[in-house]
Amino acid sequence: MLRTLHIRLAAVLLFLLLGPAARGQEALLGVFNSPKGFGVTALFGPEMGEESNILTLRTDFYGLLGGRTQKMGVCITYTHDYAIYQLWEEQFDMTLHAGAGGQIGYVQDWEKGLFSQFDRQLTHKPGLAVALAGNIGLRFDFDRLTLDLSFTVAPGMHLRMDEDTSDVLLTFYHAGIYHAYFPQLNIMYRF
Amino acid sequence: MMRRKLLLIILLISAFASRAAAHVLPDGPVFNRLRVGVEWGYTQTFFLARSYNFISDEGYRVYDKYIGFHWSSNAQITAQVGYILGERSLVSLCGGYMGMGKDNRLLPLSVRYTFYPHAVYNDGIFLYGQGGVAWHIHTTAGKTAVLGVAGAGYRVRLSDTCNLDFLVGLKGLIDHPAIPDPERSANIPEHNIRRNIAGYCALDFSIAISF
Repeated sequence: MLRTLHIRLAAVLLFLLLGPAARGQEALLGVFNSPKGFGVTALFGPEMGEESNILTLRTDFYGLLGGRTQKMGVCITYTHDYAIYQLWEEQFDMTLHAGAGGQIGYVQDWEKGLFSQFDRQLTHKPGLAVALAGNIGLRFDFDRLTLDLSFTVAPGMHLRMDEDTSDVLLTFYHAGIYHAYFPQLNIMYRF
Repeated sequence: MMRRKLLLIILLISAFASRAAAHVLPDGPVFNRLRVGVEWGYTQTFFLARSYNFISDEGYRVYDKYIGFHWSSNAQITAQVGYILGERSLVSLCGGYMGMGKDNRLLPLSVRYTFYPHAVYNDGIFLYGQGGVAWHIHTTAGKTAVLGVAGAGYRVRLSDTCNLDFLVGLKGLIDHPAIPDPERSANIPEHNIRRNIAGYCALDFSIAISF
C-alpha cells in the first residue's frame, strides 16, 4: 500500500517537472544558496517567454551563521517574475527579471546584539512569518546549467509566542526587510 | 624490475598527456591570467584535541584535556583571486569567513595551489592544497590560528571564462581559542593562561564560481 503511494508520488512529481517541458514550457530545478539559507528552487515558464514562476523551499539560517542560535527555520517563497531586459550572447543568455509573490515560513525574526560579545544569543522563539515577496534577479542561461543571482524583499508579519509570559505576539517581520540585501544564487538544471 | 618501473613511468606520463586542452593559455599581460572567484560551503567539524591550563582568580591551577570526536556544523565563505601559472596550475589567495567547532568563528587568509589534470579550462577532476592563517573576530577570542586544507573537486565549465566547481576537502586548524570563565561571562585573561592549544579536523563541502 505504502509502496504504491511512493511510486504514485514520484510519478506525480516527475510529471510536474517534465510535463511543462512536453508542452513547450521550460522547467528548471536547482539548488538555492544564500546566507539566508539553503534549499531547492523550481522554475516554470514558457520557453523563450517573458514570464516565469519561481518556487523556493529553503531552510532559514538566521542566527546560525553568527553562532547566535542552534535552531534552523524553514521557508517557502513563490514569485511570478517578468523579464525586463534580455540579452542573447554566444555563450549564454542573460535575463533581468523582477516580480512579486508571497512567502510563508517558520523562522526566527531579527534581534539586535550581533556585534555584542557576550550577549549575542537569540532570545525570542521562532514563529510563523507571512509576508509578501518582491524579487529581482539576473539569470544566466549557459549550455547546460542556469545561474540566477537574485534579491528578495519580504515585508510581512511575524507571529510568535513570548518566551516568558506565553502571550501571542504579532510584530512586523523585520528580517524580511533587513536581509533583503543578502544575495541568493540558484544553480539550476534545465530539463 | 627496471623495465617495469620504466613502463609504469611511461604509462603515467601518457595518461596525463592524452587529453588535449580545449584552449591555449591567454597570452598578453599578466591581467589576462587573473581569475576571481567566490566559494561557499558547509564544514562538518568532527575531531578536536584540546588542552589548556590556567591559574584561576583564587590562585589554583585549572587544567583540562580532551581528545576525541567533536561534532559541529559550520560554514565558510571565501573570495579568491587566482593566477594561472600554467596549463594545469592555478595559485590563488583566499580570504573570507569560517566557523570551526562550537562557538569559534575566524577570518582566514590562505594560499591555495590547484592542479588540473584536464587543464584549467576543461571539465574534470582537480586537486588542491591550501595553507594559511586565521584571525578571530574579536581580539579577545583568541590568538592567530594556522590552517591547512587538502582536497579534490570537479570542475564544470559553463563558458570560456566562467566555471562552476564542486569541492570536498579535509581541513585542519591549530588554534588558541579563548577559554570562557565558568564564573562570569568573560574570558580568562591572557596573563593567567599557561597553556592553551586546540587542534580541529573537519570535512569541507563547497561550491565555487570563478571567472
